[in-house]
Amino acid sequence: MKTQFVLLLLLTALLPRAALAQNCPARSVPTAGWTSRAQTIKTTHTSAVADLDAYMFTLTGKPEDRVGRRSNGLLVIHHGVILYEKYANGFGPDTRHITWSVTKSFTNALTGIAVREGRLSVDDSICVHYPAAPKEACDVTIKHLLMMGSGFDWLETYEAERPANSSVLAMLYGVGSDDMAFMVANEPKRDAPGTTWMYSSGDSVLLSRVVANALQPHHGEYYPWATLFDRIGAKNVTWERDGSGTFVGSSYVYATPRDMARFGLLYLHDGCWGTERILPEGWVTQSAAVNEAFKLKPITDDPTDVYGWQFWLNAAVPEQSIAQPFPDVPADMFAARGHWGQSITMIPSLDLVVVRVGDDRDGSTDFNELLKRAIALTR
Amino acid sequence: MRTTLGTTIIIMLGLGTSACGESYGNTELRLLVNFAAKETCSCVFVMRQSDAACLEYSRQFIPVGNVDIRHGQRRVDATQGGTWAGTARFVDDRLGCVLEPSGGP
Repeated sequence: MKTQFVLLLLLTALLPRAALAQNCPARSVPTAGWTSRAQTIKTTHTSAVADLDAYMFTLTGKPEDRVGRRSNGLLVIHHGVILYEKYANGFGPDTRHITWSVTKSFTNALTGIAVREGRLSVDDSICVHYPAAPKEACDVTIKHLLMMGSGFDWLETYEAERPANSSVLAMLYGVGSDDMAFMVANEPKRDAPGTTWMYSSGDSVLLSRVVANALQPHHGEYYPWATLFDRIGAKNVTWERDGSGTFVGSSYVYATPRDMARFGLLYLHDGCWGTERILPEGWVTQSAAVNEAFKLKPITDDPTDVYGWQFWLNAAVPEQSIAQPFPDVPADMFAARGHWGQSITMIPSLDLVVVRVGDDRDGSTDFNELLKRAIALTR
Repeated sequence: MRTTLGTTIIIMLGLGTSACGESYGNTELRLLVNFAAKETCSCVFVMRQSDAACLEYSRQFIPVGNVDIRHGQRRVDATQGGTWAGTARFVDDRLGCVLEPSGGP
């Protein structure tokens, strides 16, 4: 009797610790499909819905002129439930949309997974995992790449400026396209690693190759699905690779907005999916904090640029006299953002995820205005 | 005299001089055909939009000579001036499209 009592006591002591080890309290995630309150919200928040519709889905000019906000999809998720869902221009809930640089945040996820499995540490030199890198690149660490603080010389301009000088266009479509990581690793250094921040798709692709070398031997060619997408139930994701098989970690994830929202919920929930921990404890917090290289010297013309680890932030940066970028949005907001107006936004203090896909060619979606209107649906 | 004119015309064509009179270098033409091939491929086979919508989607400032969407072979070929060519192939639903090894002359 006494032995059984002692055993029962031990069991009771051990059970909660097993749950604490994951530190993932169960939160609302769509394990059996999405719940939508969109129809109800249209009646309880009629003017807020109309305001969001009008701001995001009013087409201006002729299609071929490519002016104004050209939304293809918009999804607002509150407490894990759909409050708003709208599509246009031939896109729907089952259509995969280009995400462009939203992809960088997916690369963050794979990096976190590799860390959690003990395959790499963020303080490792990239040369530990990518032997093909030239020795001049060995002072660059995985953390430098996460921060976009590698110091590699880079010009991140797109189609509207003189294309011939663009490093990112050369990487995606020019001399680098057969082996993008190799191209990046062989760039000369503009600055010592960790001393400056400059937005670079090159850093994200090189990071993708380093992480691939850590994960692929254990999980196979389709490791992003085995380690991430299958675990969050994202069944409609495409991730394109370069000519050498490196997943293009800067630019080429395609997904349905609902699957982008699953990714958003993973980050909203501190890297947990239900009670299962996918990203290391503290990883999301670190990723959503202003990074060290950025605090030292951000090289940018845009006063709303504030950066963590492959995520955009809404924090003021006193060291650089930078004000909070999006004044009508809570300061704990962090977001994945891509060319032509793609975004996945997490606001933990509101338990909110906002996903937007579109084809803005003139950058006319004001991020603050979009999020302000999405937040109005929760009030 | 005629030889000089002929040579000048050939050089101008080689540089891809557009009707507007602006000239584009080899780098830009290579980027152009590869962008057209890869982004049209992804638009058609990954995003599953119509051919017309995808040709409009991947249209850039410099019009590409020809973009050929081959549904049967699941590939897109883009050519410019009979000299520059880029091809992208659709691999599968998860891996999408990939540019063929660098084309061009």
